[in-house]
Amino acid sequence: MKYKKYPIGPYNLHIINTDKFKTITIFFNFKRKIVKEEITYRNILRDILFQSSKKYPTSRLLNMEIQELYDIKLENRLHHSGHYSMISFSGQFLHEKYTEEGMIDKSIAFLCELIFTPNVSNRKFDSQTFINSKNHIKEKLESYKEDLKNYSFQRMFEVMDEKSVISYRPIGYLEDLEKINESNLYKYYENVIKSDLLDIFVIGDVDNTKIKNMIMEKVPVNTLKKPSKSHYVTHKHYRKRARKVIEDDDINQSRLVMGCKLDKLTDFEKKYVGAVYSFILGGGPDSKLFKTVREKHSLCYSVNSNIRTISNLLIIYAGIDSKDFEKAEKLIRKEMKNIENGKFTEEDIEKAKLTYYNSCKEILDSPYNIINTYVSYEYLGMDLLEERMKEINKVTKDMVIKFSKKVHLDTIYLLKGDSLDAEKNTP
Amino acid sequence: MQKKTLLNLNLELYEDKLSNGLEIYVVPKNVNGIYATFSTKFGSIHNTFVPIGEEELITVPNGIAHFLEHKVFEQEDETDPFTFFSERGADANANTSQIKTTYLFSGTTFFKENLNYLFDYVQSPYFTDENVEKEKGIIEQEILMYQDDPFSRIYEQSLFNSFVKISHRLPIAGTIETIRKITKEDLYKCYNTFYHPANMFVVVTGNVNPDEVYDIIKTNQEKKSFPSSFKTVIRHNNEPDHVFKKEEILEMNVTIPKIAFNYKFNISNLNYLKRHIINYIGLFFDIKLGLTSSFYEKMQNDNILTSGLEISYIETDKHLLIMLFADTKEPEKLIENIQRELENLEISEEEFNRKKKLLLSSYLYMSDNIYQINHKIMNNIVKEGEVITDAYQEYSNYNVQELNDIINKLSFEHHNYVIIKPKNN
Repeated sequence: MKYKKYPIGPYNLHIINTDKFKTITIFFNFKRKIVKEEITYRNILRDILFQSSKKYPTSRLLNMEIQELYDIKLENRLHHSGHYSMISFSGQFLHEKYTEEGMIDKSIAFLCELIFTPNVSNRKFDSQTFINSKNHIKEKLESYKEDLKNYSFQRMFEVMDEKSVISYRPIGYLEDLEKINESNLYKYYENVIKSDLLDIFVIGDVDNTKIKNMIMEKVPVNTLKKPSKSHYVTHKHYRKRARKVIEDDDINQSRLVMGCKLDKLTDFEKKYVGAVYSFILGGGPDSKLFKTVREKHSLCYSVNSNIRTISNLLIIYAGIDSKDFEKAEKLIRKEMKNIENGKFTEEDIEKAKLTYYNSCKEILDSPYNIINTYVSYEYLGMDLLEERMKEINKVTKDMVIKFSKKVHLDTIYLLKGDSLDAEKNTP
Repeated sequence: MQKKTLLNLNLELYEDKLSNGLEIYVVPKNVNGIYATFSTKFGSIHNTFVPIGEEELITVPNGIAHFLEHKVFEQEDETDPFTFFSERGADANANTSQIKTTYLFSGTTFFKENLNYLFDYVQSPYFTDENVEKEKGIIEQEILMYQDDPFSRIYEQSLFNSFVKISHRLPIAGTIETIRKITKEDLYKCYNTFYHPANMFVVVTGNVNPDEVYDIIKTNQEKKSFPSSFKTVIRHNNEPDHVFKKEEILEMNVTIPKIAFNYKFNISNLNYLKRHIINYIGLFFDIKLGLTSSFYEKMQNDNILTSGLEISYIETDKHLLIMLFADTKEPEKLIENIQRELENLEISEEEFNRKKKLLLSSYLYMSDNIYQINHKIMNNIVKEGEVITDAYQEYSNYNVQELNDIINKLSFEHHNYVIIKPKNN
């Protein structure tokens, strides 16, 4: 595997050369600082560009072309990375040695066509495409509460700090959607092409010079941008006692989300110690939370913790019966306290390291995961895989204890449903 | 081990069978990861059977295969299999479907120990009244989680309403009522009957040497003894062609209504292999109602659909159930339009050939991923009794004449729907 970065000027091209996969993957990442009012624009924009284009003016024609290209796998995504909003467009397709000659060129040209030559006339997006896309986003916004786990996470962020960027809904807002039309969306699109920082990644068995020439020909992005600032979010306030909010809902299972703020982490803690801590606390079926809350006390099916270093947060989740809320909270707090008090073993650390090492190795089996390591290297200052596999070994028990003292439980949110036993008593 | 080539995929398959009946399949691949699965052909539909050593049919509570999957992790010496694998850097898990139960791990280190342990923990059941009771709270929460999920609800209700007699209609995890009845005696009966090596198979994909895999498993199994004769008698009810219930409207805490529109086809009298019939019918529905159909274009422009229908299927001995799922503000109009669209069964050759490309390329995409290869092989073994090594060739030979022949022999009269509507608060 060989990695090379080409700083073209207005954007960077990264090519990772490997013959390990039957596919070639190309990934465009546009990013800028998050502005709350722009989130919905960005959502509809990522959607509309994959609905039609100048050459394929309806979604039907566009999908026919996808099939002609041996089912090129298109994906678009909008997500928040700390202070930054990232829109990504990607295409994964079979190498032409498995299909027919010329398919590499055709597939890359197709993806560029969708991103850079939308179905626009008189500086407006095509109205049917716009309506379809708007309907699609509208339905997603209207139904976003239906994913109860996601919704309870979102509510926890809002309760934690509604002014902070961490609480912005990555899916956008209904009231903003109403303000968007064919022309202001196109204006916004032009602005994205002009001002967003762009990185393009290509991975597969490719000829670098050919790819570079092709990208330079097909990507009409030519403005130089100011370099990116830090993605990392820091918190202004730390609560001494956690804020507790309970909201009732007409559901069977209650969702408990506990949000912890992380305080003044060192670079090494961000990269490595946090991962080890979270793995020990709630990283999987061998974790403290799983063994106590689920296996010993039978309170839940799902319980886990995950760390979001970019937002300086650690989040604990459990799906429980509402009558067990206090008991579950107590048990979770106790497990966190135990780590602070050093009540865990060297073996716990070794397991976490080995798991981390294994996951690094498995990253190399997936084109998207390889691209992601370069994205986090570029944007977040994370280490590359070889470095990671070495560095993780430096984590010690003392470091984990020290880290645990920087974990401040801040917000406890319960989306409260019926209780099973209460239900049993009703006729 | 016997070597076969998976044609067009640049992959080899190695297979063998031990004297205790256990089948072994290995596909080496030049990646870092290793994925090992150990499965029994015992799933949620096998709930009426003659237990090993007995003569009468018994019926066990629904959801027992899944319950058993949870309890197999219990060990007499109190080691936790999850800890064992975690200490060796591997991810372990298990899952239960209608037709099989699978125990698995993935990882890149300590392969030999991990593989040995996969057999050791699955082959040492330890059920007590206490540990069975304890599991009920956990599984209750799992069931409640599914009940809050609109997709699980509509899926389970569709199966329940489409089938009349066979166990495919019941939820894999059972219900709160059925799982509360499960005892350790029930679990041992199921375990002893269905976890015999002759009813099981192992599939390993990834960075491994097939001979090494074979030796590890052979040595492991030779240390253990199992009853020499193995035979399962499972009762499958005779399923009629009609559906159990034609219409159902549920209310849930959702904002956009959901719909499942289901067609039940009797495919037992068609003169083709079942897997080809299923592929052809799948292609037909995709051509007629998928993203490149004029139907979808119309639905999108009329704001009846804002994203594609999800097309899924369930096969049983005699029937194929095609399930069409969608979120839509106008469920009734959608149903009307689907039915109208399917009045005309004609398919153009051009469309057919374009869709055929999808089938061929999805097979190639699959072969780049050790998890997907493993799942494909497991599916082949349970459904076909063997690994299909020339699937690419089979797909290449598909043609529009065969499609038309199959479609024209189908009866579209047995269908039903389930709608989930928002609760009026």
